Amino acid sequence: MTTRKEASFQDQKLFQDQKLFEKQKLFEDPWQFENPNLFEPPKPSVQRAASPAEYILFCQGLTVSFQVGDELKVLDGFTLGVKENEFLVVLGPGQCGKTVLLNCLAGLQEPQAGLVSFRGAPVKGPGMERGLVFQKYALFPWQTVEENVAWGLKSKGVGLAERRSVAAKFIELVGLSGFEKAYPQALSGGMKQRVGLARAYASGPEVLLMDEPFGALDAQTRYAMEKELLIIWEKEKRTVIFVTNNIEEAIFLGDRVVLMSKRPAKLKKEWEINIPHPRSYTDPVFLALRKEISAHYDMVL
Amino acid sequence: MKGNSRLYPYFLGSLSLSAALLLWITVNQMAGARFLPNPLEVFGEIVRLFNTPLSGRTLIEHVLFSLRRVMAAYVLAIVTGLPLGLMMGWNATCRKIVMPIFEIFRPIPPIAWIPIAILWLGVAEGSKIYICYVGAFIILVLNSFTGTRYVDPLLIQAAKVFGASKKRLFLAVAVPAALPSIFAGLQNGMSMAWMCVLAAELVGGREGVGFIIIQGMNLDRPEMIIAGMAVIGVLGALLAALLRLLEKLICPWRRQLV
Repeated sequence: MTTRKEASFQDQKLFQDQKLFEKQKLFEDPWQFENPNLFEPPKPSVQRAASPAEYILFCQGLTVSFQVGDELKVLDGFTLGVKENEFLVVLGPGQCGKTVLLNCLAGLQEPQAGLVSFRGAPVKGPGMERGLVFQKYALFPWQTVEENVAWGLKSKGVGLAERRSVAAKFIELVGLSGFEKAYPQALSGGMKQRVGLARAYASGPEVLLMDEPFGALDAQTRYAMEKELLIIWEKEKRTVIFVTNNIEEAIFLGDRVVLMSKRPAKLKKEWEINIPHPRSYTDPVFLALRKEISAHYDMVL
Repeated sequence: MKGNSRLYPYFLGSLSLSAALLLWITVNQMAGARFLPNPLEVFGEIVRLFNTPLSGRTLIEHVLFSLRRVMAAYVLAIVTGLPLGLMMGWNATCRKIVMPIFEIFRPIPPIAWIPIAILWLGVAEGSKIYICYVGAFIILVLNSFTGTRYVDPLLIQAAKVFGASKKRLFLAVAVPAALPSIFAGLQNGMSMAWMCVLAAELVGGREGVGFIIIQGMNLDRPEMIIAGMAVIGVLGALLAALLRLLEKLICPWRRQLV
């Protein structure tokens, strides 16, 4: 005999499963089944993975806290695996630790606990296989566009002639031919970030880490740069980890979007995005996904 | 005329110069030549000093004496102060070692060194150069220190991400980042060296621009005092312009800014 309470529970569960199944069809998101309770942060993706070896870049149990008056915990056991040649977007609200995560992956920040590994080998510091594009460009003002782009090549001890030709290739790729001898100060924000992108590409990385690269640009330039980034990425495929706080940008660019919770940041949820490129902001599937991600997005003041 | 003329900045600059000249003449007319001699008298005095030796030397020789002292002290201050400041800014250990003693020497005005400098180095060139050196040295250390101490951390991160060695981090990031601050220090250090050479020459010595000024006071000839002051003003402005030119050559990326 089933009590009324049990029956209603079963109904609810059935209804939920049905709803989840529909979503599953739309976005092919295996997370939905493993985590019926949407407000509970999902189990870290490591449990789903056969082994960290299937990831090019992998971090596990990352914990970072800063001493700002009281202890400020930014990352708390953060785990993330990045597949080769995927365009992964890390989405999260402001000050949730996105930049700290990226700095850990870049080797600029040492976590108090946890580890970062690249192709199975632990990351101990910055490495040329991981290029970084900074939100605030971080170009050397005393160097020309060409010299900025060739910075990493010079670190590798590449000769001047080859540096020039490689730099020229990537300057052309980002559409800045003719500006080789200009100083960054003379360039607009969008152009500066193109230099930043060319610099990251030219040093020959396998993974490109992008820290809100278009966050400082005006809306129009931002849209244009998003489109262009995808064109560049199609031509020169690399593994990309793109950090942003902009849901639209995340859906527009990503093969996969992972959502971070507010501080201390955990991996809250993730979506595979199978909308074909070029994506349209007004596509119903795009809008539905946008609405769904918004519902999970933590609000912070 | 505005904006599209090359002469426009010069026109603007001449405004303040003519105003000062006008004020000078007005004061001269109202208060008399004993209070303030007029520009023509001062110019006449400069020409006279050119041709007639004072204490056995013409104006040019006096100027060269002062200039030589300033330059000797300045070069010494650059050679010793710049490396020290750069190291203090870049290396925390070096900063911690040097800072306490530097903080004690820093507030001592160079002029306070005059008696002890004369005691140690005599009344001749040595003590005068030393006083100028102290003045320029402190400023150069401070400016090169702040220049390297406050390099944008983002640029250091960028350099590290793209594989810069420690040596390259210093030479290709810290030093160029500090250059604007260093050049500001070179300008201020130069002014300070002139200030000090004048003070040293006022106290003792029978040559130099400071000597002309003190001689003007002793002989009760205001036009001579002001002639000496005017010579320093023009010379200082020329040297500052020379430094700006040097900065433009060394920092081409700042051409639009300086």
